[in-house]
Amino acid sequence: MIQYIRSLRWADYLFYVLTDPRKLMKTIETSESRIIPGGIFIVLFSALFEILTVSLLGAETQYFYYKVTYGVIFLFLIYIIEILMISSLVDLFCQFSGYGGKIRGILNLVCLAQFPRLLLLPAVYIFKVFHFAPVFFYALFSIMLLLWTALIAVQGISEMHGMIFSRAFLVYLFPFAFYGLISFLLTMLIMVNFFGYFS
Amino acid sequence: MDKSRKIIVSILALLTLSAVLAIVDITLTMKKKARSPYGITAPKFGPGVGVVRLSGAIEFSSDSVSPLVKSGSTESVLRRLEELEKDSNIKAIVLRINSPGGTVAATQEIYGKLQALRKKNIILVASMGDVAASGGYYAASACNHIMANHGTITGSIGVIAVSPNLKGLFEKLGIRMNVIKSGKYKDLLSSFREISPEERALVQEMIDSSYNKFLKDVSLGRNIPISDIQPYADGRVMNGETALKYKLIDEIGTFEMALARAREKAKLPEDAPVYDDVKNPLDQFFMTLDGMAQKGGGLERRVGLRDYYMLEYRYQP
Repeated sequence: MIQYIRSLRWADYLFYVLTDPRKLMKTIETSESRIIPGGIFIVLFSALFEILTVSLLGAETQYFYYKVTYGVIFLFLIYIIEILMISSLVDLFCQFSGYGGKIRGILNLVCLAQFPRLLLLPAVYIFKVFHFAPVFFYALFSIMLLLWTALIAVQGISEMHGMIFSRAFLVYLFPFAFYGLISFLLTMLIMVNFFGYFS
Repeated sequence: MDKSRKIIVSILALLTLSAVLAIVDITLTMKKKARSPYGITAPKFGPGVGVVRLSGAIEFSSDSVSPLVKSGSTESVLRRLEELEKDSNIKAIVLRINSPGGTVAATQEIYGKLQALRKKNIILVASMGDVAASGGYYAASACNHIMANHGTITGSIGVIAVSPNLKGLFEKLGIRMNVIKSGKYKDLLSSFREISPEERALVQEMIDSSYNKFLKDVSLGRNIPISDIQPYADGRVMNGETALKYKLIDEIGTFEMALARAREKAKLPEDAPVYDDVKNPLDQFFMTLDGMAQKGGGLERRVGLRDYYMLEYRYQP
């Protein structure tokens, strides 16, 4: 493990995440290990950086220490569940569309694709230091980095199954459409129950 | 080292630096105290004071109680008292009263429960809010110590039964009721006819009996002879200051002072925790809904006739 860290081979994955997602996918597919540990760490740091960024924007109290400990663990678990669900639904949709199932590749890809989200903290911090609309830039950078993350995943999926970009985009969109529908139906159900109960 | 690897290591170093800076920045600019009363606080544990709130009319609820909406009915007060009785951390209870009284049976049940707790050496301190009259005072009298605000409306020791006489109205409208009964008193306090002297005597007997029980219980709870209470037990209401003069209460003071007195009497430290019923925003939300429900009930009571035929320890101006 120490040798692996010293060798800096893991840095190649991160470099490809930022520069060439298609090459990243090829490297993942030729990788010996089933799960790339770096991916898990990126998700963990993504949770930590998200909480730090949000905390920077407000006036913090002692509650901050709960956020950076239990809060980070909780957010990390949420991210992991989210990634597991997105990966499985993407894989499911791929299989329904006639492509082979490659859950290991998709899982590693989606985890590593979170790397750009770490850049949110330094980007927002600059605007926080100069007191120049930090909340606005937080929202703006969040959206931009989310799109970047999606772009990496879509390119990776496209490379993995040799499908055209637009189809890969649809495949990646499927889990979100599915969750959107489920959430909408659940909200409707809760509202109907809520109003029914109080009326 | 490859150029690409150098770039990644530099980015990671930058990220680590920004994270460390952010943590230091947040820690240095951190506020000393929580802004919100709902901020995370250390969990309460150890011996302390429980709070029970007796609000609104004291009566048993006849409607079904939803599991979501907490009811302020007698049942919920008794349930809360039982909960505190079972909790070994509770050494004293502050009974916060804001009630004009209520039905005889419900009031007596609360009084009985409080007396039972007192016998178990749990210190009871009553703290009166806007009004703690009649049945509200009855419940307070079961406590070891009674505190009221200067302007609290209290007293009103007595029993009342009200029955509307709608005979004139019915005659005007040409309505006559057909009443078939097994005994002459079966429609006692009927609204459709005058009350007879015998019926009045019968109701008066019940009222006197309940009144005597009230006096006896106040005397027992306050540990003063009935003869000392009787001169002021004519239904009159009074403020906290007058009640103190007549020894119906022990002290003028606020809710906070009542908590401090409870701690002192139970020999608890000054910072002993307070176990209040309303502890989180969700509960408060449901309590608010309960308040709305109670207000609705009050309106029904004012315009309807449903509850008129009851003996009550109630201050009813």
